[in-house]
Amino acid sequence: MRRFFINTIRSLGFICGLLALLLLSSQIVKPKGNSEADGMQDPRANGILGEAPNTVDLLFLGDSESYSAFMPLKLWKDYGITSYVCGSPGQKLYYTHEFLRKTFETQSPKVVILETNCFFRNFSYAEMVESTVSNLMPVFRYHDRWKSLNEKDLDFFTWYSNLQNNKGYVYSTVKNGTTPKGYMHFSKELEPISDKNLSYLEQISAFCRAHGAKLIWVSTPSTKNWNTPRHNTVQKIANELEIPYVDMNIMRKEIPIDWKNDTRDKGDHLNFNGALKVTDFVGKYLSERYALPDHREDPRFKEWDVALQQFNKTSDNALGYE
Amino acid sequence: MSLSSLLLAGRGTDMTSYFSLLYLGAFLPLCLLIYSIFPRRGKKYFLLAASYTFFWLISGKLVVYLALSTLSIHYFGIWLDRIQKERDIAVKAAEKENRKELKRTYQKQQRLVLLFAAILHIGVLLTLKYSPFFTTNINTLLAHLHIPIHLAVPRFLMPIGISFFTLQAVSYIFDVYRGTIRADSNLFRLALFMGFFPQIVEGPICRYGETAEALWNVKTIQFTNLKLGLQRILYGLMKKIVVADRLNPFIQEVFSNYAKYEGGILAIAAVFYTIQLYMDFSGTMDAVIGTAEIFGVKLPENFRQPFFSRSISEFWKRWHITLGAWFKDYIFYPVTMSKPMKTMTSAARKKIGNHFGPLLAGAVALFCVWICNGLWHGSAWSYIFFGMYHFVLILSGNILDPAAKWIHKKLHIQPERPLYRFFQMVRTTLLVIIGELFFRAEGLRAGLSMFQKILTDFRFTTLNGDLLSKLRMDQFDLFIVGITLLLVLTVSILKEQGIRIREGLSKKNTAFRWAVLYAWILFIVIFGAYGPGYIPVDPIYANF
Amino acid sequence: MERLLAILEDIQPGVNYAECETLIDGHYLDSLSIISLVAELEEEFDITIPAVEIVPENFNSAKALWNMIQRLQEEG
Repeated sequence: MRRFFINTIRSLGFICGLLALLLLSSQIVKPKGNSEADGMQDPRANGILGEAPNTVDLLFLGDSESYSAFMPLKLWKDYGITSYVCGSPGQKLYYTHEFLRKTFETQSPKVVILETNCFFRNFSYAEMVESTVSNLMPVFRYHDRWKSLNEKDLDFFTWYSNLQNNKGYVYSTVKNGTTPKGYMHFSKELEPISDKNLSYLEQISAFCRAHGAKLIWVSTPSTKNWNTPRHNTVQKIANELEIPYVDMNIMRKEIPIDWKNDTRDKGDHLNFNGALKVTDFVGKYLSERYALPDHREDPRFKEWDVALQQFNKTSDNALGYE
Repeated sequence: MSLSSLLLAGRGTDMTSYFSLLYLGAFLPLCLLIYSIFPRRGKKYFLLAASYTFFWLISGKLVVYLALSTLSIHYFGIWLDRIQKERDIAVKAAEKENRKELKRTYQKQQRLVLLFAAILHIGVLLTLKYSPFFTTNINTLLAHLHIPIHLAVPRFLMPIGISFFTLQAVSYIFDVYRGTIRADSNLFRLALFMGFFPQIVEGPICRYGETAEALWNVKTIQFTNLKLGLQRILYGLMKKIVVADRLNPFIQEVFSNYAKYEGGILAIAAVFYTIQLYMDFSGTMDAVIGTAEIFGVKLPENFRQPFFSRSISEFWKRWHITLGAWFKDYIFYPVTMSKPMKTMTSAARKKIGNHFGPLLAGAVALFCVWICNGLWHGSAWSYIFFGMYHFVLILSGNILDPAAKWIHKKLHIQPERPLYRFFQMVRTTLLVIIGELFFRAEGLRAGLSMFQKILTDFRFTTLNGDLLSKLRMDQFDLFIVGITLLLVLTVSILKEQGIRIREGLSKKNTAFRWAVLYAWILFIVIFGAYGPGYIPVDPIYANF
Repeated sequence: MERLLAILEDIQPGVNYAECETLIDGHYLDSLSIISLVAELEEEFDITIPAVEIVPENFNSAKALWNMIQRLQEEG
């Protein structure tokens, strides 16, 4: 029995030492800034880390649908609303949840808009656990940075200074149209949703409630990804959780998407034209319901005008700037 | 959150690899924990339950194949046992001169049972694994003969590990028939022998006489065994995720688009693949044998430093040992020792002497072994070619042996000199690499054209940083692969000299031991090819 | 025993068969020598050696071989 205790204590000692070493090596390999050059994963979405504290009032979350449709700089230009799109390709809900928590560490958005396409993206427990462990010990996510370590990495100091000029939006003017067939035809079916995803939706909703942010679910227009069974499922859960749900796929009057001109890949994602229409609607919708402050006259938000100018310079004055 | 999505049968392929997070992080620890607190007498039953749970998690309802296979050999074993008992009583009662005849009659009965059991098991394996291959080939043949018949190509769902546990089942029945073991009346003991979870996916292929008793007598986990077992798993993990998985993108790309690359690159890919296969398979074996070690069970080794072999025939005694031993015991010797072969050997020896006399019988048996070996790996012409390649190499090694000795004498080469031994090792390794090229190539035609290109277009003109980065390989990757291989080589040399590293380590003081282990774990965590930017690689041998 | 040693010497010369105890494990006899040996032994001693007997324990030394031969002769 004595031997057993000694062995147990020694093993625990060994494990503690190991954890300490993993935490230490995490500090060494984790990116010291939030740009791509720093080795940050998803630098576009992680640009939120570079925003001045408590300046972003509206947060968009989701997969590629979100960063193709929501245009923070247009909301800034038209309404003076400060927003950011924390969207990443193929985003799964555990990762969405991470972005949500990460954002609320420095920001206090009043409204959170979650794009619904990722509700139907399945993942395994292993992925989820891996992601959680990697958050606690970044060495598991960033271990490959050993290839580019330098002396700066050894003083453990992180400085997130990189700003993304498009605030998470991905600008594309590519036109590759489609003639949708059977898009959003009537159906009573419900698309199945996994328990894991359902659980994350509940967690995200609870988190927003606890932090005083209004959560809205939005399905952006996509002939490839969206259909009535998905709509039905999301509508049903939205009712249960009492979350406002806007399905832009069935609002052809309010958001008149022209599938010949407004998509960049045959109905999968919207292009700039499509994003303009979606963002116009979002602006109107928000201004009618939620009093998000207009920061345009506030000198502390000068950086947003700079960003808008910058965007226009690289995009043929696409948003127009006076 | 409900467990339903995890427990959805047949979906748990996340765990096929013994290095997956789910297995190493959840299944194994949980299993060890419950095992430890289980009452002593029930431990073996828990192990059996855990094994079936594991198999169910990775292959769902196909678990019935394992259960039925076990049930049937249990039944056949008892049947043989009954015949043997009847025989013993009858022989005892009979007059001396009748005994031989009597024995022969019972032998015949036994042989029928054995044949029936073997055909049943091998038949199921053949049907599941090879019917698509055979029907496709028959269709091609029919088309060539302009016969307007087209057979539907069947596709069966194959349980993981069936190639391995079928061989175990057949060896059990064979051994009972031969009388080397007694038939097991305990279905559960037999089931644990067949389905023990660490070995079910990729072997080693065990014999009943080797492991069944040890598995059934599992006891409390010893701390020393736990430590040694975990270290061995760690060693396997290093081989797999630091080396094998890091080389994978390169191999994957070059083998699937071989036409785009020049001969030199193809040769590098073949070398890389041989390294990957060895690291992947032997690494998995380290994990398997290490896991069994934790339970205090010693599984047979599957590798013994194969790249130190001086001939192809020696290589196959050091690489995938349990498969080679299976073929030797259940195909090679039964064929050479069959009546017609023995008569042939005796006659031939008198005419052409001791060296070439047995060669004919040996060649026939060897041919059977290598056809089976090729087919066992998969139903494709490239695997048959792989088998025939090694058949020819081993056979020509035998035929040329006198000539080689003559040349040694003429040229005053002393075969035992280190330099010559080294030459032999390099030669064997090269031949193995060529074999693995065909083994990995996507079809026989691809293999042949790759090999031709290596011979005719052996250039490295396009090999530069750009190409390497396209193949997701930079100097850092090569460096880390090199370092790890050097480490594995050192360990192999020490093992070859009979030095036991893990035991040596355990004699050192705590500070030193911990430092080594910490360094080793961090090495794997940091230099492993996993996480963002890497696609997880399925264990290679689980598909065979 | 003398006859056995003579047969062994004939099949694979140059091994000290009287003393060597690792004929198989030490790779002195390869599979082809074993085929020859079995054929020769069967003829010489009028026995049948089934495949099951071909295990290292029976072939590792002349003594083990001799024991096997005697056992098989008795079983007849």
